[in-house]
Amino acid sequence: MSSNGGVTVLHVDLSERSTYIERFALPDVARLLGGRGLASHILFRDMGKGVDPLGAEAVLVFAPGHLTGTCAPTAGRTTVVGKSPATGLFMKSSMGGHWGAGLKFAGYDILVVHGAASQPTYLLVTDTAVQFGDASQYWGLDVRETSREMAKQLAMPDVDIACIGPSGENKVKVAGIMCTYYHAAARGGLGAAMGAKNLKAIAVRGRTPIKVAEPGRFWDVSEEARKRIAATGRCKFYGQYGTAGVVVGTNEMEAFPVQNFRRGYMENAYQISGQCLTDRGYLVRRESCFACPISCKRYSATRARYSGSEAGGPEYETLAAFGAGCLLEDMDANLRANELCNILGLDSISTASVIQWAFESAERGVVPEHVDDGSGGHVRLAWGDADAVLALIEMIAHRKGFGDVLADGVRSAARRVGGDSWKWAVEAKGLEQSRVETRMAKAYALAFATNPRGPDHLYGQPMAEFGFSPEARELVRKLTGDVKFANPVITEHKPELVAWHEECFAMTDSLGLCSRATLSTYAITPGMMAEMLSAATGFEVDEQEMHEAARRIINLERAFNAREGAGRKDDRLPWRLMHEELPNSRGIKAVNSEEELGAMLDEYYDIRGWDRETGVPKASTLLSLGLEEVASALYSEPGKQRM
Amino acid sequence: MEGALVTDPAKCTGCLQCELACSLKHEGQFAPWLARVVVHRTPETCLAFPNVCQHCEDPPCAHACPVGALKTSPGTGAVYVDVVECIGCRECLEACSHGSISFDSDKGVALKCDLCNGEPACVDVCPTGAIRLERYVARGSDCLAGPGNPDRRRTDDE
Repeated sequence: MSSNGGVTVLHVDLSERSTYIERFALPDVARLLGGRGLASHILFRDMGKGVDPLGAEAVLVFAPGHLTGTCAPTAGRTTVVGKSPATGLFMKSSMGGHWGAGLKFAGYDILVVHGAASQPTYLLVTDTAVQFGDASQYWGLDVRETSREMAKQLAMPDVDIACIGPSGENKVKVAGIMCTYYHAAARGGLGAAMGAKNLKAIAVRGRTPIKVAEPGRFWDVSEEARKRIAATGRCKFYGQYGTAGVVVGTNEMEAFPVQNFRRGYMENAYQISGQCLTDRGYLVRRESCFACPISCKRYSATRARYSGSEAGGPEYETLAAFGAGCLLEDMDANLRANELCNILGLDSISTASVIQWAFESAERGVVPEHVDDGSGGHVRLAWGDADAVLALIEMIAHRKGFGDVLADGVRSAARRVGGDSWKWAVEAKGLEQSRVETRMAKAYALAFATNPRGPDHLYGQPMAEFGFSPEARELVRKLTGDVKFANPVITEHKPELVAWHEECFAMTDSLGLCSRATLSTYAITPGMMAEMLSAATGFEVDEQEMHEAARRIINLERAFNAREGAGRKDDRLPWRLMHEELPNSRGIKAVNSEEELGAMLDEYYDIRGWDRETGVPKASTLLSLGLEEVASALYSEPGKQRM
Repeated sequence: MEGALVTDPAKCTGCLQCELACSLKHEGQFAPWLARVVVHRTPETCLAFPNVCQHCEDPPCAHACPVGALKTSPGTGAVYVDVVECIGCRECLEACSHGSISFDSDKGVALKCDLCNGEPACVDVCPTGAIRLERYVARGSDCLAGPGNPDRRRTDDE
């Protein structure tokens, strides 16, 4: 943050090769919490209705959290906000690493990219200049080569780089943006949006100190957060085993999405778990994002096969998507798949999803068993075939052969291939679902349906419904009045749980903290976040005001989608999870239904102040949050009033 | 108190909490490049290791200083920079074989660890114990405290 606690936004226009500065004062920060909140405001304002997410008019906002660069534990994250090429709707995608702190130390809080360059270009943002560099020498290089070569060419060993791999260059709609080598803003195809702008990389470096208004008070709340993290069992667990530590437990609950969500359990889950990674010597090092004492990030290397393959990760989502989803029950093959996704710049969730869809389509005879690999050969589509999975990853990144069909995501692939293949395309809003079994977790089902980006866990992560930890059970008791509602298979009180988690997530992203600290472990509370923001800015914000600001952000993002024509009809779950029962040994009828989801949606829209029929924020709701410009954008046409 | 900072690079995750705490404590702001503890990071291979001053009993930096600006604190045994006397010649940076002294080019003075009067902030915030303060129970010869030296009796700070 600027020394006065406000926000300095660097706007870059790639078409004009020009820059300008915009500033937001403290009250605006308190209104929208900085970071993601301001980024969503800028997106709504600067990117009007119907803009092509792959066109020059598209806007891409890089927003480190308001506290990024300080010692607030886990506050190193950056949210990238834009319109998703995959869904055509609002997208926020968050990355860890050190890039966000680098942008802050260069003297900027938020970077907004407008326009498109005519040639491959990189940006170098330092505290002395913003340069537009020729990136033709890096075009075609993978993420690791790009990061390595740029640091060398710029003669800046400590530069931090956010870039795209070949997949982003090829406008693959499952391409993400990578930073600090292995940290991904993966979801929603924002890498394709960057590629469409001919923007290969954004390098940041600086020596501008960050000051907080009340250093002693800020230190105290940071210390409290550190101590809470150190004392929270779930945080220790994630530090020990990484996010993939939850593979075994999820499998034991029979809620582990196996073989494209056909089953909830697999025999050899240990082989693809964080425990196996740690105990069997695949784990090389534990790593932290900037200012994070949890250190769930891994750096791993193969042992038995795919010799020499090493990379950051893998995370739960990657191991679950390739290991369980594609039936790749071999850690070495998973590590190679993870490395390929990292260096090619692919979202491992979506990439593995389209591969699962292809395997199932071949099994059901909708696509041939052998498909063209684009290099004169063929790939055999067969579950668990590591060679096929690894070949398909590269084919997707380079749009080679059948990979081109898969490269636009599973919804597009199902449309191209036809038949019943849309039924096993596990997507909604055009986004492939992340590896959570919503048929066994009803708050997740609702959160996935209402998530403006599509069905995944990083908008509202209502993990408390499982009651995994004392912290989670206490939160459920606080929000619903009784700890018995910490039960994933019931629908009662789930809308309240989802609303709280979405709000907590909006604060978390906006301040730059990690949901690992605020949501899945509940170590850092909204009250502590309010104290952090107040101490940092000198502008007093309490917990209630944090929630109100979070609701403002959620309404802005919802309004972006409403302006594009989305609403209740889009708040749905993948067909398979609505119509096919998940087999389980507990005798639970594990499936979602229109009736059950519809009832939760009604209640959720009421909590949010959104119209039950359309799912669009009511004008009165927007006005009560002080979002007049949003209300007029949605309701300016005559006859559209719905107060 | 007499003691030394001991590092365990295998435990360092590169979170930089130590640099942030150090710069806040000494500079009143978050500026990791002004920290007295430096974490060397190699992001490509996720390597990270902290570098802290060993507070040598016979400090080469103090010998190299032409104006006697590097002094030993009688209370903590810390070798510190007297910034009033430091002339910014950087001789101490050259003399330190550990590379534990850096330079504030804005103020034109050497930067080094002063053990925070015996309560080092970096030790306090390190989540993994990659930086520890080991206090000597009895002074031995000129070797450093550490797990590899059985002759030196020591207690862990915690």
